[in-house]
Amino acid sequence: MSDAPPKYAPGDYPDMPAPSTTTGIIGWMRTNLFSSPVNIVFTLLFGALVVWLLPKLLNWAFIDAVWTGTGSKDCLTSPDAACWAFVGVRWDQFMYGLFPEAERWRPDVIAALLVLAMVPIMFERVPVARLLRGAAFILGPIFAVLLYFAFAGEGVRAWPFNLIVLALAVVALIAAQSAYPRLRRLLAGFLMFVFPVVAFVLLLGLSRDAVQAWPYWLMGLSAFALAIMALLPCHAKLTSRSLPISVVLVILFVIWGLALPSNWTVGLAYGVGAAQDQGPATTVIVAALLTMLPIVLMVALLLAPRTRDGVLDRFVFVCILVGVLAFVGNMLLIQSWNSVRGESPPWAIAFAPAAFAVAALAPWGYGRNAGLPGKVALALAPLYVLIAYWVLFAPPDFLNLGIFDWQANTVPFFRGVQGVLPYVETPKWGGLMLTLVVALTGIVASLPLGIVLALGRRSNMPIIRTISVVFIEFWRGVPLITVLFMATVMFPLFLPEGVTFNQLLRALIGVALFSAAYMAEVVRGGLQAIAKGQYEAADALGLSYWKSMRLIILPQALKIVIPGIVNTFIGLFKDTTLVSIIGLFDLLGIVQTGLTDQKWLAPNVPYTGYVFAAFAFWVFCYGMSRYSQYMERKLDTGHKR
Amino acid sequence: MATAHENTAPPQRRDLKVSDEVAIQLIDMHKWYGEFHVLKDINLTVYRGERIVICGPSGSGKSTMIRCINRLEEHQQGQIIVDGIELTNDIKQIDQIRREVGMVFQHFNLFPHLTVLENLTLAPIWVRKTPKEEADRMAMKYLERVKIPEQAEKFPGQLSGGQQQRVAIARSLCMNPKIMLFDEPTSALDPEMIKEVLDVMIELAEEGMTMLCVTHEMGFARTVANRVMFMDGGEIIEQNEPETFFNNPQSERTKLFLSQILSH
Repeated sequence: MSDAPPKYAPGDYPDMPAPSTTTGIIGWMRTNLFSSPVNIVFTLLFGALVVWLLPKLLNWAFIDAVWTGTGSKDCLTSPDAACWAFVGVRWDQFMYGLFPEAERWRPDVIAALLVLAMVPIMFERVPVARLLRGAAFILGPIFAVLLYFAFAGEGVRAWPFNLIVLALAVVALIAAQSAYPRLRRLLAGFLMFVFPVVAFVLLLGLSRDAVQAWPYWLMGLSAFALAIMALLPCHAKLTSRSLPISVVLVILFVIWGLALPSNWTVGLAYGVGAAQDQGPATTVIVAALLTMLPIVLMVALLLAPRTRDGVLDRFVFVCILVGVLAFVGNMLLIQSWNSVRGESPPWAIAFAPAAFAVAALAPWGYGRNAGLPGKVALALAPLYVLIAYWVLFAPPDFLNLGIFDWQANTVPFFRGVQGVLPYVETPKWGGLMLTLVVALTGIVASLPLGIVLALGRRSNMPIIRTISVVFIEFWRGVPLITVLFMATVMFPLFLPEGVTFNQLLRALIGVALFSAAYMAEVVRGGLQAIAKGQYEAADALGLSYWKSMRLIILPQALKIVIPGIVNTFIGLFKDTTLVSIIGLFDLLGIVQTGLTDQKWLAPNVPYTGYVFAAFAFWVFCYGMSRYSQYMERKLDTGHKR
Repeated sequence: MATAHENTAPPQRRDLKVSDEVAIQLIDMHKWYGEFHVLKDINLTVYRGERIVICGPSGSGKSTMIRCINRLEEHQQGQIIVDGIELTNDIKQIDQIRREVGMVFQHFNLFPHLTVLENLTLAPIWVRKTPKEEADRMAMKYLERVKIPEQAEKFPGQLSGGQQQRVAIARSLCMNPKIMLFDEPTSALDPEMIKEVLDVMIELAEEGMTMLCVTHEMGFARTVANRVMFMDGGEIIEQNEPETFFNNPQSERTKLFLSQILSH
């Protein structure tokens, strides 16, 4: 009472600390738990409920639970608690379905690759210090548990060590990414373009037909490479002065696009041939490395910092490097030919390295100060490479001059690969693996498709708008079960006789289109929330429709609808359980199948199985939910609209 | 209001050089919104280096008119020729004109998900294909001109209204436009911030930029404009050099309008 509040002159009043009852833990409890009589009652009631339920739950799940055993008699020792022994015994089946035991490393590798590439992208720009702290707190205990599993029981088990290595690699990648931001683009490129192919080949393996058709696959791949490479120079600034040179470079790259894959495969085939004929085994490894190197280098160079002259310069570097590597690859080819056959190669093979070497010089012809040698090289390069390509690597029934027998030389190699990656039919896929395959394909396909449909529905063009509306309303209007049934029963009726369509593929397409329709409406909600002024500002700056969508509208619209998108993803993830009605065994399906086993007929087994399946689904869905909240926080730029 | 800038603005500003070269030409232009006739028979020739202030009551079509010039609105009849290119449905020509015409909006319309620097460099990089380093350099130059280089890494949501509008002006300038359109650039600002935006616009005028400005800042019109235009009911009622326009308006409608906005 004695110390009256001090007086301050107007404008001088200092900031005072807030009363202690409104901040800190006491303040939190006052506002959240005991703010009003009703609130106090509810707090006490829920507290009592937790105290009453928690011990029962702990007893059921842990304390009284049966952890080891081989059948129902073990489960019956404690019938009022979980029988985790059931899950333990059937764990592999729950994970992989009927995937052959010897091949289960394949889904494991794919999962590891996915985690390795995806997690660093998901957590970009996490400071290294925070990362290490998080790693110590979260990974430390996990490591301890894993190490326990590694040495518990009889013998040392490998999988805990593999998981530890994977976790460390992920942490290392996240750390490396904050030092080299370009790593993120590399990983994203891998995820988008390489991973789907790798996953497809690894999961399915190579069938006899695929091996026989290899040269045609190669043609297709070459065409793909051709398309990409032809697109590259389009990035460069095309002026009237640089146009002719760009055209030449495009032609060059098209030729390399054709020549390189075939060159590598042939190199590989010879390498393997050499190994089979007791030739030097190192050749195989070197040849394999050589197939990878140019790809890696090209990607690295494309990601390299821009030089002063921009993209075209990078392009020139890529040309030179690819040419040099092709040259080395060819030298190796000749080397292995010599060592295996004990004879000199045909003249055309000797010609190839020279051709590629000259081709590598070609880009020097580009530039203001290019001398005469550069210009000559530039003029001759396409010719050289063209001849080398047609003489050497023409596919079997396409202008083949008979120097190289495709089938005879490459098929043995792929027989070897087939030995490593035998074909696994999709009906054998199952368990969590199948759930993830369906869910990830659906998620990856539905977002871009949904965006396109949403843009289409808002388009000014009546035909595009109508198509989008009809598509969305059709797929939203039918239940997923109907879609899956139609895919199984009705769809084959429309196909010509003898044409079959993989059951899983049908389910994948059905799920993807179904969720794309939902996604489209979610994205449209976001598009409508963007102020008209944003569209106008983008227009006024001269941005084209696609650029303004990509750079201005979609980044904002998608950010707004992150909760809706993740909601759709989670719904999709859980809807994958419906594929069990068309005879595919996803995680829930395989758990249910396990419950019918005569060996495990105990009252607590079904509860355990369903709780396990529910928990597995919950882990993934909750993970997605948490990540979406993290993204929302990260993308919040504190703006008011 | 009218005297706010007179002490900082020398009177000769009005006599800044205007060339004979035509920058924008509107010939017998009409526009309808559905059944509503918004713009009626607009004829206007803007010479390079001219600074035109357009005023008028709300709904008079003044914003619509300048929005027609970069095709944010479509006109239905007559011709609009900007920088020698006629505005038709040809997307290429529209884009070409939009590259040469900068626009500043009442509500700034900055891109909230990008930093100030990214807002400025986006169009040069993606439309003009300027290398990023050069675009950054240019953006910093213009940010210094609008006197907020220190805000480059912030997001628009963290800036005050006046700062945002100056960023918006800088964003337009980064495209090196030949013509600038201002659509009520100070109407959404607190009085304290109006001056900082007008100062930037005055500086721009002194450099000889062709400007069309929809505004009610009569002080700005008096000191900077070389032509003031009054619109009502979708028509240009009166246009004249500012001295005559303010001191000796010809039409009754203009007199009424001026008496209303200058009386308070």
